[in-house]
Amino acid sequence: MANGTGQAPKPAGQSDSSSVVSGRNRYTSDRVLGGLCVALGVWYVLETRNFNLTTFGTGPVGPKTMPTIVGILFALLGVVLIFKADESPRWGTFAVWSRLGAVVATSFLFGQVLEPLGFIVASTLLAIIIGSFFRGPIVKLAPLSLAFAIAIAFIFNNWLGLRLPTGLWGGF
Amino acid sequence: MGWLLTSLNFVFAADFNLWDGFVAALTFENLILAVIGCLLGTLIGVLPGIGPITGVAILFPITLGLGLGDASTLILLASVYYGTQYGGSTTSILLNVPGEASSVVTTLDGYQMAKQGRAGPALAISAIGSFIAGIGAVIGLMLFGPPLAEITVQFQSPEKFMVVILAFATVSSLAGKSLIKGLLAVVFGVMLATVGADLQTGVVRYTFGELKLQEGLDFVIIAIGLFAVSEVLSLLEDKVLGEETAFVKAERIWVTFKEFMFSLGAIIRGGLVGFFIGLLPGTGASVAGFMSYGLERRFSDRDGTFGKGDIRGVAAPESANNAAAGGSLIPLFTLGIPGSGTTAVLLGILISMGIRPGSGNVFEDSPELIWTLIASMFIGNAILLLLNFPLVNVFVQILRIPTWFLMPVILVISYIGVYSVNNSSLDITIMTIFGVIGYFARKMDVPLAPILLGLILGDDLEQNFRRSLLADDGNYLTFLNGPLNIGLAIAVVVVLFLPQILDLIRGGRIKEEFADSSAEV
Amino acid sequence: MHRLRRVFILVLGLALVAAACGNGDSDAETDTTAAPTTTAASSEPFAPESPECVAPSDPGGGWDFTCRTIGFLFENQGSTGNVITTNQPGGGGAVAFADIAANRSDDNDLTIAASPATAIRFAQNQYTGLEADQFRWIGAIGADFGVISVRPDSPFTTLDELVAAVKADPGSVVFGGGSPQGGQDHFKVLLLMTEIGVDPALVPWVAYDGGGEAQNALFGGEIEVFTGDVSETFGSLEAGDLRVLAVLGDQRIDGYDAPTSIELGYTTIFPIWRGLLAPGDMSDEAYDFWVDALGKVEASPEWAVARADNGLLPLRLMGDDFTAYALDAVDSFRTLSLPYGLVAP
Repeated sequence: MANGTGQAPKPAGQSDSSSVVSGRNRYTSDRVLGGLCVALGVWYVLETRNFNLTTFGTGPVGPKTMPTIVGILFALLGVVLIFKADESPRWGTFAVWSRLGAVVATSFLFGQVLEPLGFIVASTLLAIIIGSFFRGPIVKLAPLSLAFAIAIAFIFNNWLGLRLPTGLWGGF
Repeated sequence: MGWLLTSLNFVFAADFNLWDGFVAALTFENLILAVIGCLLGTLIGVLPGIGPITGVAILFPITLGLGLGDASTLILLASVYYGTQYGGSTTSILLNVPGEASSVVTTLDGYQMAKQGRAGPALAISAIGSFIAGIGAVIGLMLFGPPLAEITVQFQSPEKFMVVILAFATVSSLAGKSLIKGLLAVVFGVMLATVGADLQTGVVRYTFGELKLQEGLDFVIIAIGLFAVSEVLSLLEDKVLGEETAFVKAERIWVTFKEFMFSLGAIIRGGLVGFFIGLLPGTGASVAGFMSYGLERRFSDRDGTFGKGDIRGVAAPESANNAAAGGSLIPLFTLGIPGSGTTAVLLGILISMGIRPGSGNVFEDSPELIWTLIASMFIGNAILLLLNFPLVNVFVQILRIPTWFLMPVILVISYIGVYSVNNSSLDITIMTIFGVIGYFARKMDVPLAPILLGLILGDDLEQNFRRSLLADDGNYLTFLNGPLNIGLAIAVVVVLFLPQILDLIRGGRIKEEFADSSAEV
Repeated sequence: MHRLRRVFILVLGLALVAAACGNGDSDAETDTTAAPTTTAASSEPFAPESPECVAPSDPGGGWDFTCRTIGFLFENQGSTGNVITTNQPGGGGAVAFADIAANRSDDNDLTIAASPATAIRFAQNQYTGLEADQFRWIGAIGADFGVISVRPDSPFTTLDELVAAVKADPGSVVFGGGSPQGGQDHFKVLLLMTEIGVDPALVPWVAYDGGGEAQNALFGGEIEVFTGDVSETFGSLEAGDLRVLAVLGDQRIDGYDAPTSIELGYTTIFPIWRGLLAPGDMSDEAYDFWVDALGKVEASPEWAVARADNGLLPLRLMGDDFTAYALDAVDSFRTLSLPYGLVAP
């Protein structure tokens, strides 16, 4: 492991400010989650009104029944959670959120550019970007990512007969 | 016992028997094919999203192209099949990436073991457990096939509904710290299962007009998102906060005899559960894995070590998977009913070789191919176990790749494996979304496994419930009609409350043991 | 770094072994380069550069079989190079058809696997905004047939007895199969009920996840009639596990002991053909090429074997004949589907 020894760092003024949760906010996270569950459950039940049934009839129990039961149950569990909330976890700092956000955004973007750019280019870029978030040295990261992408493309195209998008670069 | 003698007689003494099957299968060329098949299968299994069904379906036309004989084709495909199963477990254990549905549960303890430097024993016990259970299932298939097939027919929609309830009860031990959050997770999973076209009416539900969602959310995509993508996010958070915990360096590669004996019970119980679940058409390996893990955790987890790297938590589901694959061959051979996607593909292959399973006794009608197939399964299992001595060593090296390259590799492989099956970038988006959901769920102690359980079983729960009522004209008593249903209902109660009952009975004795051991110290 | 390199070498090595042993034809597709599409030089006969067959389903199903088998035979018969099968599942084909119509409508190298399920979905407007005549229908080779089957101990020994019972009380007999209301297996019930003048909406229908599960339900007595196909009931019929009241076709099948609906005096037939479609703007040269190539496949002894192995009867419907047949089928499926709200708006 690259950073094997650095597992217990104690930066001076450790960002405890983020982990200190004041008395009133101690349970906020679970309460927000509970609220979200209630909202999702209610929407889930209401959505059943949009199902287009055929005229064959549905038998004793139709396609709306289980969603209705399950949605109500989910909302009720959400209500229970609001009242029986656990203590909130320690949420990350801005540095954490920004990087997590960037990784998620990169992943979404990967899905969008995969077809136009082709697999080799897109996945090399994805690997370099994600790797650099994990503080990988770009000098090693770039060639490794490219080699890896080419190896995978080779296996998929030539052996598995699964077509990966070729895009700009072309394939094998 | 008469039928047992008859069975034994026809296994070993018929005109063309198991022995001849081995003779037909064990040529030098076939052994080479088996090794290649196992290696290819392992590689296919390692790629997330591409499981045994896809692997066998893709490779079958290639065997046509090579002009292989029937025996060779069967050997190659059986080896590929076992290889994919094993490859899927490998990534579950090493990287927390469940390669396919049946190896999701393996991640729970397998990945923890890898973190503790015990990846070698985890991989080894997975291979050994698969081998023992796989061989056991094949023996069960040979000896008890026809009588068990009659049981298969007894399981109709009401019985299957009760089995689903039993499965939910069995795995209630997965709930984690908070019962409410465990329940929320299961119900959320069931909600996810309703996405797509309804099987009875064709009504499209919760697809937001997205055509690709009409066939439902793909289990593997959700599983990889929840487990693997969220793991990458969590590790990144630790990295940024400087709290990274490195994997402990692997010390041993193979499993010790003591560990093996410790897991043997789990392997046998897992194998039995898997075998019987495999008999039921429509359920299958992934449910078998969950149920065996749940049962093992419920009844063997005295010290609360499950979920924290207990080797039995790897042994049980891995054995169950393989045994389920064997069990599902019984309805296939005797009734011509494919119980799972993989057996459906196998049915196609057998038909193309001129066998029509279900027509009387396939053992009598086409003994050559059936015994060769069974011998192939033995051989595939054995080759895979042998290959594992070197392979485990190689796989464990993957953990030495530095995080900054391992994480991108995990993401690229996961995304592209999933993409290549459906050629849909929507799958990448869905996986990312579930990665984010998984990240928040971990932070807030919402267990992930129950979400997947709900997703696997949600459809069975609803469809079997509705089918039962459709077929019985709305009579709710249909669920308690007949001895099987009542037996299943009792089993549900037993599974839910037996640990408490056992504790009550054992209460005194455990205390005594405690007193003894503390006295020794 | 050493370790890393070893892993790579291993992965690459495996791939090479695989390429060498597993797939001899990989050489044939060496370079599909990014060269622009063929210029329509009229003198040159059309030959696809990178032939592809889209199976609008996961690997392992009927459409996938069509692509992989026929694709293999295209190459085997010398018509094309290596044919790549692309799986594009979703919405029972809706995803693939929408994508092809929007992005690859003039792709001359492309074929799409099809069956009556394709026609039913066109008829029910499930390929949103797309009509059957917006694609070119190449041909159909080989057909399975629908069947009406019951348990061996069923009170119904002939189709007439079943029909009489349903006429007397449409709700009394439970039908089932491997598709939802309005799907392929249920369509056999729709056709038969329409013929005998019973409202199909009154006949109970239980859907299962595939024909195998439905057969298990028939054996176990959960449903009374299973409307499957010949290929999936062949073994069970031979074994005496079920009784086939009628094959929904016009010719008897070797080794399959059951009367046809036509000889019993009914008009309902349900052939399940296996065929190929092409994008709507495919050039005429390319279309003719594919019709010709599919015809060669149909005539080959290799196809005769593959066809028989998969329980399909011979069928040869090519080019214009197939187009006319299929568009006609779509029309009649639509007429049947309309009264029951099966046609999407």
